[in-house]
Amino acid sequence: MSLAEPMTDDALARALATLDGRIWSALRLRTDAARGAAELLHLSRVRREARRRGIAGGPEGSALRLAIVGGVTLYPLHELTSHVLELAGQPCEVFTGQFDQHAAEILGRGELRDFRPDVVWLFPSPREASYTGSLGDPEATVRAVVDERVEALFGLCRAVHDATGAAVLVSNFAPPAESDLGAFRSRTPASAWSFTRYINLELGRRAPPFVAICDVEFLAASRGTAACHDARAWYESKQPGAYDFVAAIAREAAVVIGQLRTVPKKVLVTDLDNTLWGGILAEDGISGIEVGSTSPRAEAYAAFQAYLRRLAARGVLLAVCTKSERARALEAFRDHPEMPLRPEDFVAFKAGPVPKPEGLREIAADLGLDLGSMAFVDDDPSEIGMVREWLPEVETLLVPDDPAELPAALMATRWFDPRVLTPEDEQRTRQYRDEALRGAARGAAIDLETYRRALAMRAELRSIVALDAARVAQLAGRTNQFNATLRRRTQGEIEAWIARPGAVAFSARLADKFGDQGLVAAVLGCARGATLELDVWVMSCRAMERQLEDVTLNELVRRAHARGCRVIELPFVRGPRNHHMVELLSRLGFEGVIPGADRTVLRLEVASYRPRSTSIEVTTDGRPANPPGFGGDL
Amino acid sequence: MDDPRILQALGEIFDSVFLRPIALEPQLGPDQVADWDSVAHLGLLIAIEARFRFRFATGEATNARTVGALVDLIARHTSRSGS
Repeated sequence: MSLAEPMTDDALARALATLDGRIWSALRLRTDAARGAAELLHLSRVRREARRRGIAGGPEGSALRLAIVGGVTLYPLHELTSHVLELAGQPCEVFTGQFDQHAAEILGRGELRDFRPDVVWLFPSPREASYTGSLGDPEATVRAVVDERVEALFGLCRAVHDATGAAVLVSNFAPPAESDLGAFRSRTPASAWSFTRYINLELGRRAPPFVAICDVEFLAASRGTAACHDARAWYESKQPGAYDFVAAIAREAAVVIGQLRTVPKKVLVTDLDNTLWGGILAEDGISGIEVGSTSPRAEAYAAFQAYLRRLAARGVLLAVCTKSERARALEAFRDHPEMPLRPEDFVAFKAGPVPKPEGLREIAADLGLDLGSMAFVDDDPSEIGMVREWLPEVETLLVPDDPAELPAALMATRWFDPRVLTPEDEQRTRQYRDEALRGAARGAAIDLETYRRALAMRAELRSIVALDAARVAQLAGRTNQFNATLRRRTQGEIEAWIARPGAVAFSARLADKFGDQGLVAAVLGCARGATLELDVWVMSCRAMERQLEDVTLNELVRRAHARGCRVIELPFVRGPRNHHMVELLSRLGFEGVIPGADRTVLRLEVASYRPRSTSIEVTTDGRPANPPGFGGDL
Repeated sequence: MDDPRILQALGEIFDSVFLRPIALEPQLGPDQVADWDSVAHLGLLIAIEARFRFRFATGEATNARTVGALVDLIARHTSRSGS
């Protein structure tokens, strides 16, 4: 399920022609998704044209003054970099140096200094990573050359930093793509392969505090050195690599430059079900959720939790915001034998039916941190969508379909890249956990009602037909929390049921402005004289706290009334997970609730039922059916 | 300059790079088109390679700075690969 579809090129052209301000969010989405240089260059041209035509809504704020100098050709690098930076909210003014004139530009008293850069990006020539000595040179000789090259680069960095106060970004070197020397390449520090890596290592280790590294080596390694290398682009115009690689370097530089100007995220708030483990705790129980070593998916979730532990170890604060029941969720962390995270790994633990945006606000308040320092991971596109809408300063990540991709997806956000690691980082979890324990409970500013309204929910109720039987059987078979009778019906039984005279059988689909949840509730019953006897009433936990039970009961009463029934009978069976229903059914108006009883027949008088109002727009068998429309004549 | 399929596709590339309709003529070059700078030229070449699925040989396209020269190069490459 995606949150938004990106605009096509044609749609962008139309938005440009009609001066449509939505072009800016479209450009941002497209730019985030674009990988190739061709597409980024096109988007950059559209962005420039949108600016030229004065289309409002683009990123505002003071421009970052960025100077790019070096021993490679700096276009289209400068264009790609300023495009990505601007759409990430950081417009910039760019000074582009002449090819291979960086030393003169930095050491002279000319244009570069007059430009007064905030950031200088030094992109050395790949030639500086080539060793001209002999393959048999002793290590000390090679090392002396490495020292000399690294010191020369840092000398330029220091000079421009001292003269302008600018932060300096230095690109390191892509490893060679050629297979010269074969396996011998790693046996000597004098090979191109070893020498490049040697220099890169020393550049990183010795970088002074005002220098950040644009890690071209890592980019090339992760994309494949052969794919990044382009001899033609070097001969023709001294490009640092293939154009798509240049685009990747521009993106990386934009990330690192962004990090120079912002504080890192401090808190990672996660959902639990299908985020930290597979499955639903309240449905599957502690022994049923997927985490640990018992299945491939369990391993994937355990690996994600292990990664979160590593984040915590370097000072990232972990917090939970879940709809699950608090005691049960904590029990899972305490008692599951293979759960990598433990209760004490979290500095805050919000559980229960509070809207996620409000939960996040409470966590921030409890910790005494601002929302801009928080990031949030959830598997539900609606929750992610609501947080984006209500708390735009909180970064969000929607869990990928395959849990094996979770750690990489989180790493790709770059939210928690360490800048400088301090010993305090490692103490931070305890410190903030204490703070949170002191923090007083705060009143909910975003209440459930407001939250539900903003979701713009739509429920579609339909009589069950044979085609639905398989899905209904699956829902009844799998649901344990909102399952009133705990009767599991097969597809065949459901098909037979709906063919009976007197059958009352309908299902509900639920959608909101962020997507479709699919078929999430079903009711099977049969009218016998004036009594409607229920056989199945189930609702997926995904639909809980959404008032779908109210909508379903409205519809059930309407159908009972239409059949001439005066009473609805519900043979409630208590199971290990549905005990919350006792209270809920009593609130909904069912009588005969005996607390603690395992089996009770509950009754609802049709004549005394008042349709419950909800924030959901309802259609039943294709017709609008919001109360009180269904029967002033009850 | 006579293959209509090449001209049509090249026209679309020019329109997309310059974000406005460009009437293609053989002699049309950077001097007659505002914004046809080196970055735009690069954009044209990258888009041509992607659209026609071939790769210019080293040095071949850097000096092809008119529509006619580009069309000739595209024709040569696409007839060679038979597509």
